[in-house]
Amino acid sequence: MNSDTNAFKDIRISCVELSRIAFLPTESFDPNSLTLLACLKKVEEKLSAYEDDSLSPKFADYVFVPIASLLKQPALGESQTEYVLLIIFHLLRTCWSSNGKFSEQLGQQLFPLITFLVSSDKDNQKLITRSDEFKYAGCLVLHQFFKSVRSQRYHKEFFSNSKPNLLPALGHSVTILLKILEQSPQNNELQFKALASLEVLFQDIISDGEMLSFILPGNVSVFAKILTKPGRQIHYKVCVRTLEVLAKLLVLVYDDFSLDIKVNKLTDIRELSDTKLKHEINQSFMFNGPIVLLRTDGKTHRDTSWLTATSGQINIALEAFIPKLLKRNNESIDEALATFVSILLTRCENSLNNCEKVLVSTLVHLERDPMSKLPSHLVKLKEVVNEDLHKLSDIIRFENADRLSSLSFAITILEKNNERDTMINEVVRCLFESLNESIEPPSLINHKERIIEQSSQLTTTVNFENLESTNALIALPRLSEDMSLKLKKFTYHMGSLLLERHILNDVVTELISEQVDSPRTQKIVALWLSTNFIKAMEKQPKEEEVYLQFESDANYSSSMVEEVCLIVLEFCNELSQDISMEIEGKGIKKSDEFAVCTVLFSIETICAVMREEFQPELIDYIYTVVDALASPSEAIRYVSQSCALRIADTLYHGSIPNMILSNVDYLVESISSRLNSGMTERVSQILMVICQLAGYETIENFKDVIETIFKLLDYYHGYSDLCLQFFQLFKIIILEMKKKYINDDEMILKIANQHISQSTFSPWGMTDFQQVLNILDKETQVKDDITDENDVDFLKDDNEPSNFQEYFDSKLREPDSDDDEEEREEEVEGSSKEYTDQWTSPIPSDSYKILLQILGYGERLLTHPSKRLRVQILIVMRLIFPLLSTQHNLLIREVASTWDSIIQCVLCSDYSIVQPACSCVEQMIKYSGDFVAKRFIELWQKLCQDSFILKELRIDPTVHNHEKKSISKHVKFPPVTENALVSMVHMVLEGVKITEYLISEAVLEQIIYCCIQVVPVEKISSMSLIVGDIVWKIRNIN
Amino acid sequence: MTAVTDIIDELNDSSLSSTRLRELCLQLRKKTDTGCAITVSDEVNLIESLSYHSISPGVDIQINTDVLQTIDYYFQRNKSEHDEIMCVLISKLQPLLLKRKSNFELKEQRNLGLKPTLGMSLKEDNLMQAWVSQGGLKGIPLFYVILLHLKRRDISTNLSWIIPGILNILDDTTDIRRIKLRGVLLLQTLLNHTFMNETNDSKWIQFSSTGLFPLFEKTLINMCYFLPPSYNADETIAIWRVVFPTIQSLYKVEFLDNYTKYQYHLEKFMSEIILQNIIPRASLAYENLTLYALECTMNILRLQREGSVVHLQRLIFVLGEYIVRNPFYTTFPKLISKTLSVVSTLIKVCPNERIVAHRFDILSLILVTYDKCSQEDALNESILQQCKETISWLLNCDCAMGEQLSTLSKQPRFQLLFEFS
Repeated sequence: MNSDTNAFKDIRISCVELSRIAFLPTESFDPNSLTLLACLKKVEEKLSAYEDDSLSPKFADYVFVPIASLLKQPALGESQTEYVLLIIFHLLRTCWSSNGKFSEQLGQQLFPLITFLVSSDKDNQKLITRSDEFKYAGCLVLHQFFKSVRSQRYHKEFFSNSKPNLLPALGHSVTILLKILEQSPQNNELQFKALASLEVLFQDIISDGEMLSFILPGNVSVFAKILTKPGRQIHYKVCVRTLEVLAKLLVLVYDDFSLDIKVNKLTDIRELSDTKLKHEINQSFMFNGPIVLLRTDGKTHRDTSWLTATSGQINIALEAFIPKLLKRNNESIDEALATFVSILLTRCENSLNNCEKVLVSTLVHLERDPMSKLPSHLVKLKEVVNEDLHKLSDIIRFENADRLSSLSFAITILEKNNERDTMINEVVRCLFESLNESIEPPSLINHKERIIEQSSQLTTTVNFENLESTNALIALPRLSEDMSLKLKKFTYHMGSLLLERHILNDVVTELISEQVDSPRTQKIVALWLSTNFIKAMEKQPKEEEVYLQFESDANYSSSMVEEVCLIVLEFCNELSQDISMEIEGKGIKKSDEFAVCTVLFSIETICAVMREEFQPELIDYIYTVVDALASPSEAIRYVSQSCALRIADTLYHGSIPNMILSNVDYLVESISSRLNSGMTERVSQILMVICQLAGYETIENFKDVIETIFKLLDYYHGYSDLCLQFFQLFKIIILEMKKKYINDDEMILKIANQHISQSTFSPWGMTDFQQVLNILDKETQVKDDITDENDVDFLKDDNEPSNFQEYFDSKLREPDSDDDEEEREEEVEGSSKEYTDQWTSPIPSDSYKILLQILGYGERLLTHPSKRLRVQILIVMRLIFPLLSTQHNLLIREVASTWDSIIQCVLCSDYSIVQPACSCVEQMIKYSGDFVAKRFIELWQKLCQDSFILKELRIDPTVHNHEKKSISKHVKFPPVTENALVSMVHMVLEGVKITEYLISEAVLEQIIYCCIQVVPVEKISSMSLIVGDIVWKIRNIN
Repeated sequence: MTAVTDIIDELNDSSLSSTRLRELCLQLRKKTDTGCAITVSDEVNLIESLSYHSISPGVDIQINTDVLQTIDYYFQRNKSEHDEIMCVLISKLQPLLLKRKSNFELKEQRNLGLKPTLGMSLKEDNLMQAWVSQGGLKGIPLFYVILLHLKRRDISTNLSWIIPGILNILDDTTDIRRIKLRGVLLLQTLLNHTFMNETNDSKWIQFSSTGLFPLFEKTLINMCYFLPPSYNADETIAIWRVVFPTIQSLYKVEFLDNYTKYQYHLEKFMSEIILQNIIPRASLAYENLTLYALECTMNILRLQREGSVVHLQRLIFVLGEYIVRNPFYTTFPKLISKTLSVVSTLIKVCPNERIVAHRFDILSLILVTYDKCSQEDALNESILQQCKETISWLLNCDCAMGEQLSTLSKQPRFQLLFEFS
């Protein structure tokens, strides 16, 4: 009462002002009066401040007085009408809302008025021209009116058939709301309000399926139009609300329980006679169709005929908008759609039986079954699955991943609820056939692309720590990675289903056994499928827990698992051999790449499944894995790394070296047998990988293989590719040998320096004062020796006054000098013998012998016409000489025997050969010392006469007198020439270190003049004092 | 007044003494002052007779300056008849020259690089002996005089007989000092007096145009290796005295327009011949050879000036290892002095920057020399002074060794060296 009092006080002035205008005579009244509009706004503003259901109906009656007067006027403007509607809305909200406050009589009077105000014509034509604000006001009023009626106890009877006066208005209100809904695609709020109004009306007020059935077609039509608008014109939230309202409407109209729907199924031939009898009564009858049994008197609207006709329309509508909604791929819409479909299947299963297919398909497509309805519709589900299976080729070819996922969902439900196993077998068969068609379509030209490694040297660095084996993916030929991944998941899922039915081994066995005479591509597809099926067995530990209760079953399952794995492994072995035979000498094609990757994937999967039981089988497959690690194909290498890592993790505690070392015997056997069979192309790469992964220890087990390689070099030295591979292998062997026996380069120098003597100006060329003191000490020591002798002589002969004279005389009186010399010679000879026999190298003699053999073969092949081979040989030689220097007597012998051949390469006109040759000679000089001093001097003379690379420079400093004095490169050399020059200069400078004493200053100046044009001056000046002197002259005088 | 013919007869007398030869030369120069006339024929005969005495006939090559002055006097007196006289002299000389190879054989010889051993044969020996017995040796002095007075413009027309004449003498293997070495002298004369006696000789033939450099260089370089014990030390010095100047002349004439190449070859000679072969082999065993070599070294260093920097390290090494550190070093005072002189020359000639780089080497040479002499009672005033001067020169190059030298000067053994009055 207090609130009413306050409200009256607030609203009174506004109402009085409004009344003055409302009470004007008809001829004086202006429907579009701005004053009227202002008064209406003022009243509406006041009313909007009040809370819901906070005022009494008396207040509403008071406010409504001028409104009623306005409505008696012949016309009213649009804006004015809008505010009248808003005022009515607020009155309904605040005064006429709760139970008992809104009399039925008032409602009956008010409802037609409202519908008329919103839309004055039955066809709602004028409504199109109204503004959104106007429409929104109309929706507000209708919504609030329905909510107010809903609160009254008479809400069920308000629109009943017993009161036909309101039915036209009811129909009109529904059409108004539908029109607004249809015409406002861009105004979400407006659409939401319209939908909310309809929902309240249908569910809470009418709630009579019989009555709603009269307005159903219009509603379904409008809803379908909204949901089928192209693109994304309709906001997804509006779609969701529309589905919700439509679901409620359909349930109210087609509820199986309320309609008492029965599906008459013909089960006995004797019923035909009954049918004939009924037919005589002239009553339509349909077999296997829904029949309305509730009403048999023919007085109700919803009869069997009605059901037959309208359900067809519903089906058409569903088939129209459901695909559209699915295409939007919106999570909210999908969820709402799943709920919508589930509700229909739950409540209208029989009445909308003809819509079963589209509803089931929708759930399958959404991969959702929130109310677990699909198991109740297995027959229809099976039809859907069969259709998709027959289109599997297209699904795969056009990479429709969503359909594949849906198919997996559907099959899962089928298999879980169906005891028969025919479906999964059909799936496997279709999958196999479809994959075959997709991978190699007959209509397409099969381009045999050869995979060639870009770099001449194989990149086999494996970083296992960063490798995630679960990410290894084999892209199916002609399919994207995404589609391949989806297919893999699909197949894996099928494997899980097969495992649950305990028929996986049978399916896999049959699948593989059928491929005996198939083309290789089909074999690979079968293997791919089988492997993905078997991958489901990786969950074996959980299964074991289940089977612990049934010991016999557990054993059975375990043995079956092993059996199928062995079958697949054997299949892998056969395929691997076939692939190797095809690849040998021809290179890897794309199809070969996929085939090998599949085999590796299979081995990895089976290892994961069998775990420890895979150990005995590894001996047959270790070669295949290691072979793949050395593949020129990046994809194969990647997959093989994953496979190797899996095997190592499973059987060897994650250690790849242990895996290889433990199986080295089998690797040797495999490699040897292949060498003997003439398959030589892959051996080098494989051995390289083995060396890199497991270290030099493996090489010791491969000595027979290495001997075979040497023999092959003898027989097939004309094949440059073969020789090149072998020398690439030799490089790996050398590097691993060095890694094992030589800790660092300092160790080599320490050993070598024991034998290398430098022909330098030592002890001269001093750079610090201590050296001065040292030489003085040496001279003093000599004098001390002389003094000692003098003392002795002095004791013997006191008359000798001169120290020098005494020294001279003592020398003359040494009668045993010849004997001493002889003794010294004997000592030298003895030490020489001892030195010769002593093995000083940290490298074992057997390994050292390998180095000598490699060097010998390399030296012989340095005249090979293949440039790449010559370069590779020189690179290998460059690595060998430092290691050979650990046994000096053998080193110098090899240096002497190979010097001429390598020098020919230094003098070659091909600069790409000159560069490694110079690097090699640099090492020879560095570790041989003055042994090659004379050879180096001769080499320089040859370089001046015959070297092509040296002609790139000005080699005669004397001609510089007439040219520019600046010392710099006068031309820009191409990279190959530049590299060769730098390499040659380093070689020459290394030679200068050992020959600066032996060669004349004039020649040395000539050498330095060449070098200074390539290497920075500062680097050269700091080599020694004499070189610094010469550099000074070149820079300052010439 | 004695007749010219009589003098000629006396000159041709084999019993003529050196004293008498001198008197006759003086008389000949005085006689002409009186203005007496002399026929061209007599003058030719006179010059020819005198020429035979221009070089001593013995083993030693001694140039008779009196005879040369007299000959020069007569050539100056009769300038207008110079060409006529030369023609006659040349015609008299040519029959005396050794002829034993045809042009074809000579070309073949050149291709082989003039290796004497390849031409050895009994036939050639017989030819040589016959030539000598027929008085062929007399032609060499005449050849010498002709080369001395041959004019620049006449070289090209006479080159065809001069070159073979010299080469045939150089090819001799029977007598180094009386035959082969005189061939070297003739070559030296040709180079010094014929190809370099004109200041404006661009229009005349250049020695470098003849293409004879490789031929002569190889022969001369080969003679540098005539060392003990294969040869007597005196012979070696005699050879060097003629060969070394000739080599330098050869380089100078050949590379008149290319100083850099001249330096290059001088470097090569210095390094390969003197520093790598002669001094290490002569060492202290042949003092005279080493002294001569060191003197030659100093001369070349002065010629090269700053360019001698390239020899700095090797020269220090050779001096240090083969001379200074030799146990018998102190018994050769001349060598000590000469060694220190070479070091001083190095310090003066080479750039300071590089001397600083080698300062410890040079200091060691001086300290070891001083220490040895001091310890072995060989230190005399002259050597001490030379050591001090050499150190002084070294310190003038901004060597920045004050601290080190201060340490040394506090040691008793070096105290005297670092005392400066």
